[in-house]
Amino acid sequence: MNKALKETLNHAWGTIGPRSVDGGTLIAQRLGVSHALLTYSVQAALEAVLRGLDVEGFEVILPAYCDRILADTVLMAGATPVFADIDYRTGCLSPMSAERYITARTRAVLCEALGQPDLTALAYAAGRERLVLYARDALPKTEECAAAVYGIGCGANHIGIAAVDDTAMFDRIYAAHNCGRPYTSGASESVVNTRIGGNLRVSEFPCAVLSETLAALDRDAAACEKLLSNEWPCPRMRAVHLPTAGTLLLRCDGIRCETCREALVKRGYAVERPYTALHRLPVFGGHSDEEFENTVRAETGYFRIRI
Amino acid sequence: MRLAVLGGKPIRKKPYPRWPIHDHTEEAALDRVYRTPTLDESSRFAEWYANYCGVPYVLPTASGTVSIELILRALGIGRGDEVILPPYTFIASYAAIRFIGAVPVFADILPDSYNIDPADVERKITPHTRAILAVSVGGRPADCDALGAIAEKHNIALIHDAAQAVGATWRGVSIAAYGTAAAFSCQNSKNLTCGEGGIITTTDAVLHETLRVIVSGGDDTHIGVRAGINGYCAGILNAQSARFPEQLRYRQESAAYLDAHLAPLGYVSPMPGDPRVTSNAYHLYFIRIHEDKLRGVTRDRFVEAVVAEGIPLTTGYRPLYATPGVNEPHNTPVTDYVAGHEGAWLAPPTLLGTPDDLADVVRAIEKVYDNLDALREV
Repeated sequence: MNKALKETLNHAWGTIGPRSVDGGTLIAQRLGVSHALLTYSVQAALEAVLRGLDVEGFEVILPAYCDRILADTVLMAGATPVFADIDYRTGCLSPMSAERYITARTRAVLCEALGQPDLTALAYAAGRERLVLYARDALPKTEECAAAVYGIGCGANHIGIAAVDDTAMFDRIYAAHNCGRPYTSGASESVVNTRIGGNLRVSEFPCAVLSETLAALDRDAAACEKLLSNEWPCPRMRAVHLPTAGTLLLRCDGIRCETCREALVKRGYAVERPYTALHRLPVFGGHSDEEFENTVRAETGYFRIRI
Repeated sequence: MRLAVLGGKPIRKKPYPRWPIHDHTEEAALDRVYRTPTLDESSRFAEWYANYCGVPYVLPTASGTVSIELILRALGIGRGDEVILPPYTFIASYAAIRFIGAVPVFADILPDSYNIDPADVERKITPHTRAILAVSVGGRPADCDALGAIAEKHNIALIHDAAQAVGATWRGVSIAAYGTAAAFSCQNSKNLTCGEGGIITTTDAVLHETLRVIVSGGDDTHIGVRAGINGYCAGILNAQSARFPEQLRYRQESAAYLDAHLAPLGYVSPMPGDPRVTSNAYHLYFIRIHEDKLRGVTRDRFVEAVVAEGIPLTTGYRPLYATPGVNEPHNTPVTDYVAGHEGAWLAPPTLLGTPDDLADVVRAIEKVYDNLDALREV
């Protein structure tokens, strides 16, 4: 049996035990931030961050082309999602488009790192204190953001991560994830709650195998990186540069190109369309009158292949 | 004998049983999941729990708190809607309501069960009320008959916050099968535990399907809240479930022993029985401290002295409205009295102790009472 799991079972599998605390420290060191909090899912980490930013009743800007989790979580946190277009080249939130939607009611700006987002421009447009980076199966660094949210691993080993530098903000995020109890309090029943918080805590068991999960992430990301310089079957096809575990994002720079997908399938890749545009979905308000040119283009021009 | 709190020798120094209890079956479960992280331990546990409770639909989740939130969301309850709950409970019940944007409304508790008072619930119903969140505090079911009738009469949902009530039955039927849905917790201290986890039960097929859609990531009309249970935790529950029924029986026997030995004392008493409560899950064992019979010693001071004797007794919940950020109005005198002057409970694993461990509880309480004058003078 795995030694770390056995030790966890024998010594500490309670609420916020040493595995999740040490895991947070390990991730914080790797990212070069002051604090990292592990949660039961990537969505839980994003919820904790949004609640830490006190977005309830305010607006949150996010790309129309992104992981649906972002929009779901904005609604969960009691905020209004405001969609903006992406930059087709990076697949990430366009700073120019985001800037158009910023108002006095904007509390956060979410950017998924599909490729390499222009965080400097986004921080300039949105303000660093509002900018939140989101990434799956990758741990890009985030000096320009107020917080970053990551999801790593899969199945039973899935873990969400909320990373921040600011200690006061970390305290709010921590309370949001631990029934309103502040960072300094631990999990004692006798602790006085300082805020209203839910339970977004991670189990100790996936944290026990965190080092293995990180090693697998690095191994898979390295395999993906090797493919970045690949010669793809269609001359208009480019890899979007962000090594992620197990998948690679490709974009077609052609207009109405019909050949890319077929060519990839012929080469034996499992190909999927990453996302559909969120701004049209009724659950998110169904703003179908908005024309997000790059989002519409990405719906057919982006592919994800499993490595 | 001098009280330990005044420098004397305590009744006991030995700790009460360690919790959680585990053996090679938990090891095997973790090993299974480690080798195959996508293994569906969750469905296996759901099947066991459905059979155990006699309820058709079970959804294992990430926590008891998120279970309440999921039920409220699946029922379409949200901004501006009112949900009635007792203030004598853990903050999670309240937080789940606030997290979906609804308005928590406090109804008082009953003095002889510490559960929500159906009469006060009815007084608090307005045209905006969408649900009652009835907490089975300590593992004793709230009044399913009266609350069910009120919910039906006003066409509102009855959600059982059964976080502490795995194994509880009312008139021979699991709390899981009463009302619109029930939410259970499998957090580390709970009687059926996996460290962090929860369970939703319902008899409503449509509600279950909506919950399933939400937990699976949502659709065109429902947001996604991906809050299914972690595979390791589900595996642990599959192992824990095998020994749960015997542990429940043991807790109930221990509670019967304490009931019999505390009732004659007069200055403290167990919670009165109710023939409709056919199985109290006894996550917590409540002891009522009667301050008026303590000759000027407060409940808090009495409990402090019992704790010093080596007994894991606490003064229980502070009312939710004493929590920073909880600003809803309240007129709940029973809660005020219970939380401030009467309520106390034994920490959960105490009831898994040996007969000697339980006798120490009684001995410690008697010792403190016999030394009330010394306690008061300090």
